[in-house]
Amino acid sequence: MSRFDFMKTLESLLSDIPVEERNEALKYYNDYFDDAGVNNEDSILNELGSPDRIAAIIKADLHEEGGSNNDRGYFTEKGYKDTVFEEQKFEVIKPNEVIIPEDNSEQSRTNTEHNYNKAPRDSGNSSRGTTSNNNRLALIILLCIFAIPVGIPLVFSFLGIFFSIIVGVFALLFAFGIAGIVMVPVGIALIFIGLVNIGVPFIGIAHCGVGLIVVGLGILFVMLSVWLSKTIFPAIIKGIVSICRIPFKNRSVAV
Amino acid sequence: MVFNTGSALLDAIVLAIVSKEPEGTYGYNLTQEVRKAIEVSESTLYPVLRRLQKDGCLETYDMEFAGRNRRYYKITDTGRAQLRLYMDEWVIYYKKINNIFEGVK
Repeated sequence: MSRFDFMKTLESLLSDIPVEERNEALKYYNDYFDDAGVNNEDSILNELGSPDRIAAIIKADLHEEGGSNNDRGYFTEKGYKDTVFEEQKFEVIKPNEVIIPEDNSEQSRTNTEHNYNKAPRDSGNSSRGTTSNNNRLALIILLCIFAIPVGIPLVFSFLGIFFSIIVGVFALLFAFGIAGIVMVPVGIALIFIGLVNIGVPFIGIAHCGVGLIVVGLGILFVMLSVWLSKTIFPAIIKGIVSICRIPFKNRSVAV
Repeated sequence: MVFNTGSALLDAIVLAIVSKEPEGTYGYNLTQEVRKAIEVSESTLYPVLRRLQKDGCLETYDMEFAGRNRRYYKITDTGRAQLRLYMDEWVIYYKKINNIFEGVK
């Protein structure tokens, strides 16, 4: 085959690709022959192989553009290997050997088969999903029934602990308040005793001092309990309200 | 050569050779240059060049030579950026491999 025949055959084989692509490829190989020189023509023709092969390579690359499998080919010491052709695409091969991408059709066939298999399987999955949902609901109800003997005592004990903590806090505050209120008159009384016995050395002044301390502590206690009840009571009430809201919130989510 | 050359490495080699010539280079010369490093056949490079051209890494122009128009391939800014990326990756790659080979007796 001469260079002229090669180019002619290649042109006719590329007649089904866009004009731009065809011209680009023909220009490349025409230039290639020109630059290699007349003396090298035979060796290049020998290495290029048949025009069918070159056309197949060009077309394979064009088809590849749309796909994402750019990394499927690799070069070895013997040439380019391509999984689509499953033989050495760019290697020197015997003339008149035509490479037909058989794998492509096979691949697409298996792909469609996969799709056919997928469709019924998907619908099966969705129906199974609703039944499993129903089953799950029944299981949850059953679990609730079985949980009653354990759950009710647990709930009551929890409520009891909660209530006792609240009562404890209230009692503490109340005690502080009462103590403060009581300590003020006690302190005043001590001051009076001290004033009456002011003539007696030490005792009178000691009574007055202790009385003043007691009055001061009492006022502090009263202030403390008032302040604590001001801050703690709203907090406790808020906490109770939010705890009471939890089941309602859950229910609204569940519904 | 016993090692495979991935298509990314071939892209990098082609871009590097083209970038060295300010006026760009032509298909035959490019093939000869690539062949200094790796064994590629005459038909290997056309698809590579065409793809790089479509990706905007290379541009072509025709220049008269010996009474005919020769097609030249020239690197673009995109191609230069791509080449830089490939070369950075290559340095990382060969350093890792060298680290493993180092000290082997």
